[in-house]
Amino acid sequence: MSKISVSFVEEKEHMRHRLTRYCDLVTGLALRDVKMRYQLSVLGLYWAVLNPLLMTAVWSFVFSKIFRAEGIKGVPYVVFLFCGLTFWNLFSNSLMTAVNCLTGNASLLSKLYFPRVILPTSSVMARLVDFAFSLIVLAILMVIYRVTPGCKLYWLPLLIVIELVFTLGLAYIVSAVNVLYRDLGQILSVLLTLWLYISPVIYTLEQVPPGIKDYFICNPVGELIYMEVNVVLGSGVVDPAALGVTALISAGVFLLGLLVFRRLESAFAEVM
Amino acid sequence: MPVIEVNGLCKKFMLRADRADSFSKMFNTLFRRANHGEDREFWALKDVSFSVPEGKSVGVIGVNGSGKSTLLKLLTGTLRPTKGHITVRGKRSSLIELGAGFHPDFSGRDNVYLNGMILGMSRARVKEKFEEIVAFAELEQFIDVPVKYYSSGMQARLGFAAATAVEPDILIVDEVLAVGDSSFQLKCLSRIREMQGRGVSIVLVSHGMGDIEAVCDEVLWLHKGEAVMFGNTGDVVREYRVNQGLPLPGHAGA
Ligand SMILES: Nc1ncnc2c1ncn2[C@@H]1O[C@H](COP(=O)(O)OP(=O)(O)OP(=O)(O)O)[C@@H](O)[C@H]1O
Ligand SMILES: [Mg+2]
Repeated sequence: MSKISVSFVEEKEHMRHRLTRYCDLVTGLALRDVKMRYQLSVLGLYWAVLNPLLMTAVWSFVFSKIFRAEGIKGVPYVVFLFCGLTFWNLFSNSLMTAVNCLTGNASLLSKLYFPRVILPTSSVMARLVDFAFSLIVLAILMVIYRVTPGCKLYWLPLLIVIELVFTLGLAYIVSAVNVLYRDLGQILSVLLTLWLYISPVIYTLEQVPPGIKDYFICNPVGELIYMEVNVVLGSGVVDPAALGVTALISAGVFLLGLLVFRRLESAFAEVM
Repeated sequence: MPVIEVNGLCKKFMLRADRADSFSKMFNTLFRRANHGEDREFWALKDVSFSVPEGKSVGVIGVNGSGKSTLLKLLTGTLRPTKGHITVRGKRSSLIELGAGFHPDFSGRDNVYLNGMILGMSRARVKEKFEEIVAFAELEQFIDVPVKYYSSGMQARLGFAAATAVEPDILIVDEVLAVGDSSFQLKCLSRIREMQGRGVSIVLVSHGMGDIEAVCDEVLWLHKGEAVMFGNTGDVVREYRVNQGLPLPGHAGA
């Protein structure tokens, strides 16, 4: 017999019922997160809308006027950049908030039991609200600059789902590791800044020299943003091979994230 | 079959003076000779065994720091044992310490919903039960006020009302009745009685021997993580009172 065993025997709960319960909880926690950002702090709308707008304004000046960067042909650089940042921020802001979601809920974690993955999951879901606001602003920009959306726009939901899967996987890892090493957040923000530059947000993949371009497939977020921006603003050709590889990597990262999370989970309550 | 079986349960905490809990500290220790304060092990529970028969309630008593809350956290699943076996049969609900899991910036309403969902209810179920929870806690006028403006008693009321609304088979309560006023304590006791009538097991930690005697069939006395005594409430409480130099009922003032 093993040294440790813990078993909680409960009446078998219907799978569907359990799922509803967990979905309710994820939604509840996500809404609380959103409420905290928008109601309890004036910075809510800043992060969702103003920050990407300001970045776009400054960057589009620097990159298009000074460095002569180009986005998609026939699309004003401002719109191209804002579009890319919208999809980038969904990823980047999710990770930056997920990294603190366990450490920030210490009292909840040490007093009540629930599947811990629910916390990083809801933390990522909460960023969908910011993302929606950003999409609205993007639509307004497209109207102002008279940019017609691509004809393959129907690909977008699938691409966003894949991006979320990838983001969730990384969110599980960073939130769990941050419990053990509390300064991961600072390191993460540096890494994300570097990551932004190797992703096609301020430039397009077409401008990358062929020799280097082959390596870009290793960066699923970059690949996804490239496809998302193209679907929204450009011709919208989605390369099925690239999409397949990206989806596979994302699924792999998601599973790896769950695995890492489970390994570190037992230590959470102790060090809180 | 017993609802709770605990066998040879041990829980070790590491009390590290200088835990490398950040990358920068880790980085530092790579270059300097690691200068940890000694890694001190601390056994909060040592080889504790007991079991609770179906429908019976158990109390856990002991001085501060004896491991009572640690034991309850192991039973709810927030902590994992270092060694030993735990089997809990049935749906659990718990109320660990004051304002268990309440977020101070949010209203009582938001907190009841979230707490209810964490404790195992669906959103729809909390909605059904909401009126009843608020009525039991007698907080109709304060339900939309942030919990940080609640008194300790008010938090305890809401926490207790939410935890019991789950309709558990096992209710785990850690020192929350004490802060309520006497009318609320009576109300809690009568709800506990009613639950016991339905076959619910209660696990109660309290420093109030009156509560323990009123609720529990059996009592576990912990001291420095070890089980001093486990048995019939009357016997254990009497021994504990003698040991603590507390007056025995009936001898009061003698
Ligand atoms: N996460 C932790 N890390 C290190 N030590 C801990 C941790 N949690 C509890 N302890 C230690 O375990 C011991 C038992 O704590 P516990 O909270 O179980 O006591 P208790 O019996 O509930 O006391 P009280 O009557 O004051 O509530 C204490 O000495 C405490 O310092
Ligand atoms: Mg305690």
